[in-house]
Amino acid sequence: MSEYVLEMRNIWKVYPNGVTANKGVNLKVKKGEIHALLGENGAGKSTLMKILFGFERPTEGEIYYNGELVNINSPYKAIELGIGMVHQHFMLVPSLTVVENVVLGMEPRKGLSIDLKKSIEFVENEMNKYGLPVPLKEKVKDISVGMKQRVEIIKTLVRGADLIILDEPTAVLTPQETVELFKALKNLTKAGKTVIFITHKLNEVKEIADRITVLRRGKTIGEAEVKNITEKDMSRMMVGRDVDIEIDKTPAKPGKIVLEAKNLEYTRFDGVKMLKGVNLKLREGEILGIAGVEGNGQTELVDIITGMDKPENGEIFIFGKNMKEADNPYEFRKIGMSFIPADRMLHGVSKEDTIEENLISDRFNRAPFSKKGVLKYNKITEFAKRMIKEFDIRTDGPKTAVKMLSGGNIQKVVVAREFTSNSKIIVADQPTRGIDIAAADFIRRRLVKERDNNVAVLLISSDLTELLEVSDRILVIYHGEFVAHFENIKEIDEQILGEYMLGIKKMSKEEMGDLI
Amino acid sequence: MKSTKRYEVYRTAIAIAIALALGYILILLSAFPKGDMAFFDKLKSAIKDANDAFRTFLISPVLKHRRGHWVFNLRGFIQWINESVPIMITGLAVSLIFTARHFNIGAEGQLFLGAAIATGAAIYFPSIPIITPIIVILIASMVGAAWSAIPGYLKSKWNASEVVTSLMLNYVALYMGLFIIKTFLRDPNAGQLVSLKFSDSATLFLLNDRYRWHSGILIALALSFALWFVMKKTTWGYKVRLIGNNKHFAYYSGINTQKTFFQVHLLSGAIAGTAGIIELLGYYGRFVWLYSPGYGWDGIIIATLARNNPIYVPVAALFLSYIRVGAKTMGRYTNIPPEMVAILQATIILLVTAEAFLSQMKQRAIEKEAKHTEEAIVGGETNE
Repeated sequence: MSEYVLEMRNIWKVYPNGVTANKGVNLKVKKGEIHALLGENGAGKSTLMKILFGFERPTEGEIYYNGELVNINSPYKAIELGIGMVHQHFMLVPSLTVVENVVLGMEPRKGLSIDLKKSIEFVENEMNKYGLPVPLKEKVKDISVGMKQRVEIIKTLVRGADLIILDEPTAVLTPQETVELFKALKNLTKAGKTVIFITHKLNEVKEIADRITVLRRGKTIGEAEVKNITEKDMSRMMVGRDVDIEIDKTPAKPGKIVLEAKNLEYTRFDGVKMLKGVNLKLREGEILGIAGVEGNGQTELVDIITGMDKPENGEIFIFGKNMKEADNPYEFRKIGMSFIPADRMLHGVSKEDTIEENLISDRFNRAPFSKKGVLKYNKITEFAKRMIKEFDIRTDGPKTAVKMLSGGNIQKVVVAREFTSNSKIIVADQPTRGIDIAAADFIRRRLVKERDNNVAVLLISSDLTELLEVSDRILVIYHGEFVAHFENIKEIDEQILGEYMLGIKKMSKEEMGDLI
Repeated sequence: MKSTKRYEVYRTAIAIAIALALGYILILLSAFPKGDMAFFDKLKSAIKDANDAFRTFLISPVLKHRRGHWVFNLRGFIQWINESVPIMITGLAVSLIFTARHFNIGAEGQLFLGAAIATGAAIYFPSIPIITPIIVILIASMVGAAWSAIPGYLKSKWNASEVVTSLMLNYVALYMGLFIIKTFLRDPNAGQLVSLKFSDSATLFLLNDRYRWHSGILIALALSFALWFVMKKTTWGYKVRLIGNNKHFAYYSGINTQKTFFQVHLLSGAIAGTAGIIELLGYYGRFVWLYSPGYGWDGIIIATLARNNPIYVPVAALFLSYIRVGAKTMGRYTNIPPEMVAILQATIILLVTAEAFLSQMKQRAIEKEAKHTEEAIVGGETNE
């Protein structure tokens, strides 16, 4: 038997829309190691893991597990083999308790109902074996994200997983939670489990992984022992060239207040109060960053500020104008706001339509794009060609459907439109999520450039590195209110932000100053 | 993109071919003679009859047999073109509403009520050439728009499913239309329930008097072109396509989606409303329907075949009326029921709309293409 517990050989995957996600990928994982699968967004990591877990069938290629050729045609088969997966988006039932979630589908019965006592015993036993305590009787909707992830890991363990796949597990965690996760993972390998860890964060790889495999554009670029390789080498393998992620930035010269939110309140459809009297002031020529664990009210705040939704209470002033009467994003755009939405496929583009049609969605009614209600396609194409060049959108041409583009290029279509609408305010919600490093870097630089042109930028991001690098000020949101305000970014780091994001610390009104 | 379009063409062509083959088998089965002949003789006789019938089915709308020669069948041809007119118009109405991804299937009611009310105008309106038919058609159009506005309004106001409301309103329109004809416009001298004759100038200009080839086809073709222009070239058409493809994106971009949806319902109803009266003005000269003519449903078939593209609607409508006229002629000369064409239609629609049909062929083509491109790149790829 070989030393590898898992071997994936020459894996190809062509999706029905023609996108080739894996182009002859090879992956070898040793027993008992933490193996990092490294690559940019869109490199094919998630696809490869979906194939391993039986969610997708490979177009071509072979999988050997414990030395045997296996045919994993469904997640059941994967679980049967001892492969478990923790998804980026948790697959838990929020209204059930932790223990119910863990035993769901394999619950010990007593007559027609669950044998709760036996279930708890059973889960507690596993929990203690691997040193992964979870609050068994709490409902899943009441526990933190880090806990939910731990519940997911236990779920795989009680199903007998020996090989656990974690898909970007740290993307949703605060720095503190990440530390906890890493401890847990080390415990698992001590107990003989093997872990595949998908990520694009190099510092994490250095910290936790034993070996790495790097993917780029659907191909295996190489594998290495982590102790023999520097972060710089890894990043070169990932991106294909040296990357300079530092952004040169002069101090901001903020001007007058252009956007002001007063006492915003919002209650979600399920009765949860998402915003509890939020105040915010945004000045021209500055980038205001908003940090927070996802689901603490950012979505609602952005929706209200951009006119996608109305607040329950409170007011928005843009250039001093009360937006109370405006009940359509159109009014917000007209007055000079543009908006990069967090969900680009839902709000940012129409994927069936062409690039050029997506680029004019907010200005098709104006010259030169139309005249008396008739579209001027030659002008539109000309404009789109210019945008493709300026924003480096990789495509065949302006008449290509947006769905044929990669995530990063789709985002470039969105920012090309939003950055060229002559707005004085840009709201950027997760502008670089899920896209490759080069595109993300481009967008960050462009945000700074807009700021230098005296545009006001509101940046909402779950990427703390990005926030610290780009923002001039940072607000931290927790449970629907701002709990911290930093005007001097140089003095803080991710750890400090993390403490406020988790609600461990909270600033008083005086400490936060009068810009809030 | 290109390969997807080509695949759609293949899929439609193959669906039609399979349907025709099925039609042949059905004809063959119904041509099987009874009696105590040997099976082989029966088969031989059936094949001979089926071939004759199938030939009639396929070519009778354009050719007929006379004194040993195939000659142009003017009557069949005119019947073919005339029958395509109302379904071409409803096809346009349905393709418009389907483009916005709203499923107002009320074209049937819109055209019926539009025709019934406009019949009053066509009978009693002062007879002015050219002007009268235009006014009569406009009245029908407005009735159609108003009728379509009801589900549109209910949808935008209370988010009531337009499928249900428009479907139910079809029955209301049917009985209301019949009520109007029976109570106010009935011709007491006619042997059956029909309206009074239209005034002379109200009828449409005829291209051929003998077989009543009316100018409705010109209206339908002009409408097709006009709608194509609106959908592909104007800002309004752009808005409709955008809200159809992703209404969240349209709203985010600053488009008033509710208003546009409502306008789509209005325009679609305005188009559908004319489908009935145009046929009455052109061909019958009075209101003749005792029940729903079904053109609204045909519109759905045509919009589906034309992939909601107005420029393909005439092709789809002409195809559908061609096989129907062929089947009717076949029914006259043989004992094969023309209703078999409904089975053909159903087969075609089923295969065209079934996403999975031939999808493996598509997937294989995509995989081959993808790998091919990859292998071509591998040789010449440098770092970036």
